[in-house]
Amino acid sequence: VPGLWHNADLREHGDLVRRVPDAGGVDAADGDSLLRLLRLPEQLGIVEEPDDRGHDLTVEEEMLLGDPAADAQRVAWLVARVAAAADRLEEALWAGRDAGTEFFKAALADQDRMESHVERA
Amino acid sequence: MSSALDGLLRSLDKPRFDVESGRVTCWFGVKGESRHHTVRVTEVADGIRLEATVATARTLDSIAMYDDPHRWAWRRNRVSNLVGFRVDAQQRLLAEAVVPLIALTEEEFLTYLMAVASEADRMELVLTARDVQ
Repeated sequence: VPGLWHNADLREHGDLVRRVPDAGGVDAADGDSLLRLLRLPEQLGIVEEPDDRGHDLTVEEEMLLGDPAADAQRVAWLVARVAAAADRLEEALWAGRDAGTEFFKAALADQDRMESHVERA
Repeated sequence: MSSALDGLLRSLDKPRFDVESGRVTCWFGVKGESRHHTVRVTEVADGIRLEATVATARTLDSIAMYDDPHRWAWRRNRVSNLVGFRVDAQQRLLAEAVVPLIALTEEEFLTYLMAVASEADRMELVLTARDVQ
């Protein structure tokens, strides 16, 4: 799953899974859309591009991994929650738009490239 | 309240926690004397939402944050683990975690509960220097 990784900091309590789908750029949204966005009960993140070139919003949730027999179910639960939240966010920002897989494949590929670059550096 | 959540709340140590109607007050030292923070526990689909108020709307208005509270929360969520922040419709700054009930153990529940309580309390101390929540 793109955008999924383990965080070693909480390993003593079990591994941690973090899911971050990209919900899209916020700069093109109008004021009413932003107000709708602020009422959503979601944990959001913001990716700010250098030199004020734009902002992307993400949905951010984490959970502990524990019993290996249950981890796949937990990850599926997390992915479903966050994907639904990202869809609500997209609806709040751009009512009626539902960007297809190709749009997000490109965004996630960019994100993976950036993270790989940071890891190598 | 489901029996699973009820069981988890009953498992909490009396000397460290006060539990009342889905609200858990977590004490970080001697009960009644130390800092504390209250966490609201509600059910979501196959999970539990743990939510604590960091600052009310009035408090947020009265303190000089260097950033818009929404944007502050969004930036922080990019780098925080387990506990996220958001500003709700009542303009309160909240700390929260959403936990799957799937095979959830008492130890894991305690980890989430204390993570939310301690992050919310630490942020309340940083922003207001008080212990109201």
